[in-house]
Amino acid sequence: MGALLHLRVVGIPPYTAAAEITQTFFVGRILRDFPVGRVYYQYCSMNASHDSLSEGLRGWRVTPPADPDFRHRVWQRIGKRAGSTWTAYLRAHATAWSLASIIVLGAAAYSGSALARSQTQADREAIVATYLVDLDPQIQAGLKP
Amino acid sequence: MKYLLATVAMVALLAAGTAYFGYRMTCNPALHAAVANGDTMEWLRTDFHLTKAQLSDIRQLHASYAGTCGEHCRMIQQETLSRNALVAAGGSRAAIDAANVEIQRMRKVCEGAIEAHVRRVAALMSSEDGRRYLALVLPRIANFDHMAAPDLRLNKSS
Repeated sequence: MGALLHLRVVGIPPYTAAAEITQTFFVGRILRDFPVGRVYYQYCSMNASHDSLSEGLRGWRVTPPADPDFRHRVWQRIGKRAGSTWTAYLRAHATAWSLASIIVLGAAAYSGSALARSQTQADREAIVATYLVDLDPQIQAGLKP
Repeated sequence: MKYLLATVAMVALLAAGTAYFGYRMTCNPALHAAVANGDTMEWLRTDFHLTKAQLSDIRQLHASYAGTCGEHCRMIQQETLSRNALVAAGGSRAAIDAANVEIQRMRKVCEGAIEAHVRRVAALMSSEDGRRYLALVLPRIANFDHMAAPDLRLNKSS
């Protein structure tokens, strides 16, 4: 039945896949108003004889010339993209900046803490002197006989 | 280049914030305020974690000691003036030496009394704070001098 209903015109030169599809569809469009024809029309639409196209594609071989600079250009593009935004820049230099940040922030925290300790020590020295003067008003440094 | 500078600026900003945080976490604002106001009792209270009762007891101890201290200092000063007068009048060597020995004895008595006083004060604190208080105060007592009569602000009286 398939062979009977298959009204493709095959072998009319010049044969092309496009012509085959067009001819099949022309007959199919007539038959699609009938129940059996509608099934056939849909069948043909899905399998619209791509055989020659498939064969053409199967035989298609691409043999581009080797580009010795290809890898270099790819890395160049990646490098350009790495510096295109701040986030990309940080991501590209994450290790260096992480290390630098840890060192700098650690030093800053230590410096702040050391400054406070030094100030506290100076404050304590000053208040102890005041306290002892309160305790003994006769205190006078540097006048020992 | 701009990202490098931006990152440097960001790290610098973070470092400044971290330094400030470290400073704030370590500094002692109560002590600083006490120093600024010259409030020694407030210093004792904050630095040695005194309760109200402890602070009150220490206040009383200081008040009771003030009379003793004043008497010691008055005697030392009087003895020193006598020694100086003796030297100025060309007194005998033996008399000057005796006056110096007496001054030294009075100094020892005064310093011993102060040391005993601060030990009593330390005993009113917790053991750890008391140790810290003595470590701060005792070494300085050894450097006391009683030759002049300054007022409470360390200005020498004429």
